[in-house]
Amino acid sequence: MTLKHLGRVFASLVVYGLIALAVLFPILWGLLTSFKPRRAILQYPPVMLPEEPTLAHYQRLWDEGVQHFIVNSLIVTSATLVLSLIVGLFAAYALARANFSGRTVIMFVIIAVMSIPIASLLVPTFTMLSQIGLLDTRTGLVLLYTAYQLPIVVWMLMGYIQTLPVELEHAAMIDGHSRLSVIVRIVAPLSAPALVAAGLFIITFAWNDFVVALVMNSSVATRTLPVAVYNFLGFFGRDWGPLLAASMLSIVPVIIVFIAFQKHFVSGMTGGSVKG
Amino acid sequence: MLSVKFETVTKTYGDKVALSALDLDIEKGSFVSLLGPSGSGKSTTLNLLAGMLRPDEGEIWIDGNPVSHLSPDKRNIAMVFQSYALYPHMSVGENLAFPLRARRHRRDRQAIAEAIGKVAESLGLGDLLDRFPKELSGGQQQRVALGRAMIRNPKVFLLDEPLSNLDVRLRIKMRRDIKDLHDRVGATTIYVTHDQSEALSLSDKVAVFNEGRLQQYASPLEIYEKPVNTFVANFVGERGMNFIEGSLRSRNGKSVFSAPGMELVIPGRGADDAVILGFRMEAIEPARDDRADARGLIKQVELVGPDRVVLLELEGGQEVVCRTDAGVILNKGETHGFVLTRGKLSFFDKQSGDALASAR
Repeated sequence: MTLKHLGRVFASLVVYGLIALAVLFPILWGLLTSFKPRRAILQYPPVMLPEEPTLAHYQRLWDEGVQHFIVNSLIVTSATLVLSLIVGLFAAYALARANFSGRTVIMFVIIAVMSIPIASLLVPTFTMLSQIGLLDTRTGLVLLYTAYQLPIVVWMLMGYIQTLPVELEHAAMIDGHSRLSVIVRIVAPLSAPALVAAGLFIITFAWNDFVVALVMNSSVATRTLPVAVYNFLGFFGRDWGPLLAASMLSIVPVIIVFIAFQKHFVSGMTGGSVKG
Repeated sequence: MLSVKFETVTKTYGDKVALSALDLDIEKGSFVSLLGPSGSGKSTTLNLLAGMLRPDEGEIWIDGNPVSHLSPDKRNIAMVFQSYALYPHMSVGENLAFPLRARRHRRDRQAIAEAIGKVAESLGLGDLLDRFPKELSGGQQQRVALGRAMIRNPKVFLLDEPLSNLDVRLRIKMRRDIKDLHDRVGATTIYVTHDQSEALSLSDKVAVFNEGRLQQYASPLEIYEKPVNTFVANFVGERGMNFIEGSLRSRNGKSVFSAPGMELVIPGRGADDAVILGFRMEAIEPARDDRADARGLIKQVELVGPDRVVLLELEGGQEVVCRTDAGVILNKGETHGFVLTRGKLSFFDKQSGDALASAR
């Protein structure tokens, strides 16, 4: 019985390990290679660990001004994050709690919009942005990313808010707090797990987006990191060192954020509030 | 002076009338219970007063001001929820301070600290201020909920079945504490419950609800002794009233109540063909001599504290509950004579269930 159990654990470890290895190997290879000196990269037979680790490729990127694109990406991503979560929270609250005509229609539209691929929206949104004069700006990107992400964000938050005991809000209102104050002081903190989950979605999308940024923004001044990495491909030619270093710069932050917030996915926030 | 006034307040949900033309006056500083089975309209009444619901018709007044159009935060009332509704992400201290952080009641840091100290002391919460709700026992959560309601001296306290989640002993202790608190603070308190013993033991006045209508609004004693209809008679009291169907006839200026197996001469009550005689279990006792109003077969004897509660079947087939003290020996299976205490009888119209006007 226990032996069988052990065997099963061992077998699943092997399977999961293999899957993880297959997924992680290219990233790991890229990360290690970005620290190898140029001549060691194409060495045959290949060597996994860098024998003489070097930061030369990162230095090179820095000299080429990669920090400028990192800052652009940071600005666009954080602005998108804040805007989407604020708008999303209020919209989700209204849909979860308020009774108004057209509520069902709005929810239907949200779902419908979620299923439209972004690629098919590129041309119309390009025209719209150019008409309001936000083409080739970071603001334009922020607005577009927010628009793309809001449906999923609203849907996630709405589902979560509906599970919160409405009595807490009633109690807070009777305690003298306005609806706005209730949303800020009660609903938002209690929705933290859903806000984190939605936030990770937003960050991943905004930080990684390539095609929208490529289409909308053409100047170097407003270029984000993924587009910059792509341009390095032309600029550095077959110079894999700086290319891999740039790729790592664009991948690693998202991974770090994910690892850092992973435990917040598990929600235990409402325990003990309402007995029943 | 009136603290709360309901004026023909009606609330419907679609076709269902949750509350029908309620008129209710609540004196300042009094302790009033809203009593009724679930779905009777008592919680609707409370939610209308708190502002969670808006009435379809009528007006609600607090301290002489109409409040129907005001949201809950503008009514200066406090409420203790059945679920306590403590904010799970805040410590006990922050929970207590929360009402004082609302813009409407904003106090400075020191005043808040003082208020928390005072409330914590009076409810014995001093050691718990840094804990979170989920780390507290049911009784402690209950006290935090009470403290949060007390902290800003509201005009009206609303308590929504606050004791129903506690075990029996704690419930009786908290009942005393709530009464104590009311005597000390002196604020108008409105207490919703389906437990008639809570309502009777705590309140200055009890409002009994059924099916969206206020049935009777009177002192606990009056509710208990002079119920206005068979619903109140049956709902209030540990075992409800005993009912016997029969008829009333006049004879020589007195009335005679007759039912199968019994005939009862009572002071003048007029005549009526279809009435229900109602009496409480302490209004019937074993006859000491052979002058009995009715004879009954003893079917069951229960010991309740110093008393016995006896289930009888009268000769006419009616089942009746009787309370005797332990000194009277009644054995199961025996037949015995019983007498009714004349001053403690009620009569109801059989058709409507309403109480008949009492003897003049």
